[in-house]
Amino acid sequence: MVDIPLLQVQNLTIANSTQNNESLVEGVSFSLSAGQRLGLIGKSGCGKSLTCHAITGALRAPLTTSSGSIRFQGQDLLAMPFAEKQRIRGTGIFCIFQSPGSALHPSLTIATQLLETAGNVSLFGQDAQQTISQALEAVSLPQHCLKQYPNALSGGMKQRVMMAMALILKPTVLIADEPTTGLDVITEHETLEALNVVQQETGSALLFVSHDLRIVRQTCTSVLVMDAGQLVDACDLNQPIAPDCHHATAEITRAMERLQL
Amino acid sequence: MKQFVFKRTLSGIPTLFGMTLIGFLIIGLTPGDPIEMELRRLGVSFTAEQVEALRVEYGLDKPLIQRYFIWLLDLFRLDLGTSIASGRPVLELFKEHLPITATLSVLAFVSSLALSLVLGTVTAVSQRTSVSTSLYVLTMFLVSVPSFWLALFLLAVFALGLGWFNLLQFGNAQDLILPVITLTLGNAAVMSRLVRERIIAVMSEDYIRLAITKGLSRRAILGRHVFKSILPPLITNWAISFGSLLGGSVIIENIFNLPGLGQLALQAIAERDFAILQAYLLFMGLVFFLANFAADLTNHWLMPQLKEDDHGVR
Repeated sequence: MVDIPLLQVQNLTIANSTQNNESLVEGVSFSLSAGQRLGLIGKSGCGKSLTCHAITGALRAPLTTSSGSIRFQGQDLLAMPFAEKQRIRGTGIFCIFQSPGSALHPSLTIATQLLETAGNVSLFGQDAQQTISQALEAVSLPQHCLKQYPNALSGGMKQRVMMAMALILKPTVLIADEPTTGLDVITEHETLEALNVVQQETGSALLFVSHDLRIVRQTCTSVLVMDAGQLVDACDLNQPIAPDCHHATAEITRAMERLQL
Repeated sequence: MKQFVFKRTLSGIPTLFGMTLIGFLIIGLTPGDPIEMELRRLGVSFTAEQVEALRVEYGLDKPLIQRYFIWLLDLFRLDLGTSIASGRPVLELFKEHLPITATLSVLAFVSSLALSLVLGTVTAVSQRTSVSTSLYVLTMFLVSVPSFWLALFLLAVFALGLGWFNLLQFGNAQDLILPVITLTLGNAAVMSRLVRERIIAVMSEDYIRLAITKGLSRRAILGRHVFKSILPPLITNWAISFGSLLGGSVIIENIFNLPGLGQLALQAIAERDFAILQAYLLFMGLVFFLANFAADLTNHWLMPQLKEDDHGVR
């Protein structure tokens, strides 16, 4: 594996422009190489999702990236015009968001939403249908889902539709922002399996965001820890967590150990 | 869909009856005797017996409720009664005045719809730019300005000042331009604010965030995702707007001296011409009813996922 950073986040600061530019995420720097499975963990509200949103360009006003850079294959995404960013989004970087319930368009059928995804990688007609059908099979979704609207699908099924989109787009970098939040244990397991399939089939580098160290351990090889808007620790998950780790890491580890008892 | 149309039509019947009753009673209970008013207006001297005879002739001697049922039965035969002031059948007067009002309203509606979509989209999508801010200020101004002021302003500039249009006379289609512009500007400004608000609200939805993340073009995001979501509330609003335009044209028709329904209605108010007023109220109610009915049908067709909600998840 060649260790060239596909995604390089440097000194990223996200601020609220209406509240005296108060920083919600400050000085976050990390990089993601081809094929790497990197976890991003931290308590709720620590800025994990905001970091993902900044990378995918999904930050909502009044939140803005006030400083820093996000480079994808060397190109600074923050300095690009919208149309150019759209060429990178999807096939370069794709994100599976944490709220499957509202992530799919309520008035478009699953088929329309997947066909338009296929169209984005220049797949049309018969080719598109074949790719979609294979993607659905890979994430264990029945073909009849295509005719349905999102409201007829369960949370886990909607999340797997998102995985199918990732399979169609084959992004270089796949970001999964708490993809199992709000799902029951069985669906959570199925979703993670589907994510595994996606990562294996596409060979994407994965940035997996979660507040659950247990899930991150199953999915990733290394993990970054965020606390109060800053990156505070980095751990290799093949090794035991060092005793001199940051207190945020220790807190998460202790809580997980207690839950397992 | 057929079932929905059938159900919606059935549920509309009581509304229509309610409308006829309220419309009839509001006018019927208005103080002032139409016969005496008309005779006074004509400047003729009359005796109590003569008034009574005319009352019997126009059926005004009967109790109000009985008059309502007679009126309702006549309505089914498309007989809207006779105007006291002119002595002509109301239906005939309507046929004469409706084309101008309908043309005015339809033209103003279509142009304000197109203008509001452009204004709303530009002000929503390019927020915080000078073009967007200027357009937003302009729409705020047009929303605040009363239509009669706008009408007088346009007349002063384009008819009196520049002499491009006839003043206070209706001869040909060109004379509809200023009234249509007056109605369009005010209406488009109000409608564009809703378009703007809806686009801004929908743009922050998770599914739009996904559309952006998928790498879709701006055109696909706006055209397919945003407009698909904002259309249902807009269509409902458009239905109400169309009714309001028709009602709002009363003032405009009078300012521009257009012989439309509005002018007929205002004259009828002055002359206590009950038959015309009752027919006018019924007509306005019917327009609102049909516009809402059309909006409901379109929304039902546009949001097919609602069908599944009707019968549970399939």
